[in-house]
Amino acid sequence: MIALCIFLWSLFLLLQACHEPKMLRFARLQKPAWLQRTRALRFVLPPMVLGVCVAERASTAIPVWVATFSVAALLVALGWAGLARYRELLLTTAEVRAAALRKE
Amino acid sequence: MTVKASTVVRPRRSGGRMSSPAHRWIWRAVAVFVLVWMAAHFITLGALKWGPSVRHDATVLGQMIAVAAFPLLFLLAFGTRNPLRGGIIAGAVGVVALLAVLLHS
Amino acid sequence: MQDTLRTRMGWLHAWVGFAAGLLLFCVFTSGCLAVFDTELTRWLQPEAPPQTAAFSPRSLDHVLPAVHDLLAQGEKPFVTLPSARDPYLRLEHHDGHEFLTVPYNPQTGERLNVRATAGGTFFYDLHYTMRSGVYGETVVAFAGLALLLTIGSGIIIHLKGLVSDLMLLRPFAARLRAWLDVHVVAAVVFLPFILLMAYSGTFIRARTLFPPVSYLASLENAFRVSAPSAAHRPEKPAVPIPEAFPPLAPLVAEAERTIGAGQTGYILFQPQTILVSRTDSSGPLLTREHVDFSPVDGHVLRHVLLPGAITHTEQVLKGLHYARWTGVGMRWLYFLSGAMGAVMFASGSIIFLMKRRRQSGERIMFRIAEGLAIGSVVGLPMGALAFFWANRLLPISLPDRPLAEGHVFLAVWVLSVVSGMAWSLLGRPLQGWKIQLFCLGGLGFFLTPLDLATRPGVAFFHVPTVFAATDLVALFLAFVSFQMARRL
Repeated sequence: MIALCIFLWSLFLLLQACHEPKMLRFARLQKPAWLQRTRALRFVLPPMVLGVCVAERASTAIPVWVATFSVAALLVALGWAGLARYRELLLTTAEVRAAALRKE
Repeated sequence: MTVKASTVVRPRRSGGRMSSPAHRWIWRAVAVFVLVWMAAHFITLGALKWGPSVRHDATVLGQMIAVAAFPLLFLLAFGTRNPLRGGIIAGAVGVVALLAVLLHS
Repeated sequence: MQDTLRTRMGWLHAWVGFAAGLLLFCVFTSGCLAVFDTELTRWLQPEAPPQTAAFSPRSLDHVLPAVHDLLAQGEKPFVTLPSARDPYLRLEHHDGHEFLTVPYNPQTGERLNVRATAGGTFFYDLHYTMRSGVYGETVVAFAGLALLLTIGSGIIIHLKGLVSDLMLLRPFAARLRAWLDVHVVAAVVFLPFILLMAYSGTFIRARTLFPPVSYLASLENAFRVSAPSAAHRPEKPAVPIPEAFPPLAPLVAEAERTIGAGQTGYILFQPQTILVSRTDSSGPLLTREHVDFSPVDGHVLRHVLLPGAITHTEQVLKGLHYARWTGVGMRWLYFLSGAMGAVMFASGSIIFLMKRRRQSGERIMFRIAEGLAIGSVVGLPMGALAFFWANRLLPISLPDRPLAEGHVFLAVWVLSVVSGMAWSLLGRPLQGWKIQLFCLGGLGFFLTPLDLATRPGVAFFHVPTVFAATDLVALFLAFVSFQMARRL
């Protein structure tokens, strides 16, 4: 159940990150076109996670809901940093190649 | 070019040392700390008077409020632009809490 | 520096945060270890087999002679019933610092021959008293108030970027930027947990800061008591301990009729009563509801359940802070959140030092501060690992073994502080960080071989147990330490 909550939160936070211009700039990404269609999903996911937590055990739902959010945010932050680094290296390599080709 | 005297930035000096805001903030923080601590103390004491009739519940309620009020009141008093206004806010809460201890039947 | 709200809050955040942060790092680190206190006790008593037989209530009666002995010594013994978390029947008592525990076979009631250890509750005591009794408790509670202040000022400073920077982590940016991102991500993402722990922790120990008596009255009392000599005070007549206790199985069955089937957790023994108490794992509401029995003939004396909204709020705060209701998954979430809290304090302290190194790096106070930071951020985990090493390497027959384990922990921690301070005062703090990080890495890395070499009946291929989890966490810590030492 905790794994499912973390997965759903991660999905929500990924969508959220795709909406943040700062995050997109950091990873050198363009705002994807399909993002408009996922607007409803972004608002549905947090209550959905809460629903899962309540269904599992109502008395502990809120702490589990909040704790899984924190872990998912940490995972997305680490993953996004990795993605940004990968794209940075990719673009740097491409630029070096382009410069070499221009010289030739 | 003429510059108005009031717009010229001059470092304020006292005893040869520049008086940075940090120096003033230390004393302000100490004063606010004393006032807010007294307010929190009076809230704990007062809860026994105006709180629930069961002593355990009254103590717990007073401590719950005191622990929550301490940081809020400190930040409020330390955050105001005018130090005097911050002191008055913290002092007023302390006085109200003290009056609740003294006057409540 | 301009006098604006943001600069004022920045100043408050930095100084209060650094002053309390080094202590709070220790509080959070020991706290996240204390979440697994029972599991760590099992690691520290490797003679007890990982699997055991099912619980039989008749086995309880075999513990009674040992209970009688402890009562005669003036202790307050209690028996913890087996649970999904811990399969043994345990006889425990508090020795002034931690709960010393002896496991029993849950089916036969036979005492298991295990080493004496301070156990996982060593970290629990460290967490809220720093092993200094009521004075330590007061200092830790005061640090909790400072944490609440630091959180408040931090939120005000970072209010604009609270949502947009929530997941912005740039570990390959400039060093100060990277540490700031680590600090912000650890703090903002885990803010609900940190805020809850700060408030509930301070509230639980609030009686040390805000006692419900006037300070003036306390002072008057202190002087009044010290005037006449207390030497002639008549001693309290000792309460007689019953010769024999009634069988415990019917008492547990009777208590379960009131509390609920499978809901009993502890049996506390006092000369005049036997308290059968609700298990802490029953939910976040830590009611500690209990049914009391006569120790002479076992008849029911009373059923105690505190009512009221305020009491329930208190119980929820305690339940959420102690996390005894949690399953394995939630326990790991608590552990991870606590560890991220510790990362927040460590990164905050490092940022504080980095920002001031250029201007004040040569000052003696700066060097002392950096030495303390080394001793705290690296020294405490080193001390904790040394505690585990001591548990496995100290002779089994050593008298006062639990105390000796604590002394090893303390010696390594003090050594780390002294060495960090020396390197810092010599003007070579990076050397100090590096050496200690390598030592920490070494202690963590070799914990697994030590565990495999000193654990009786070790098997490589068995279901994941507390042993594997502890060793893997130590290995991960070693990996992080080596990486940090390499990149310094």
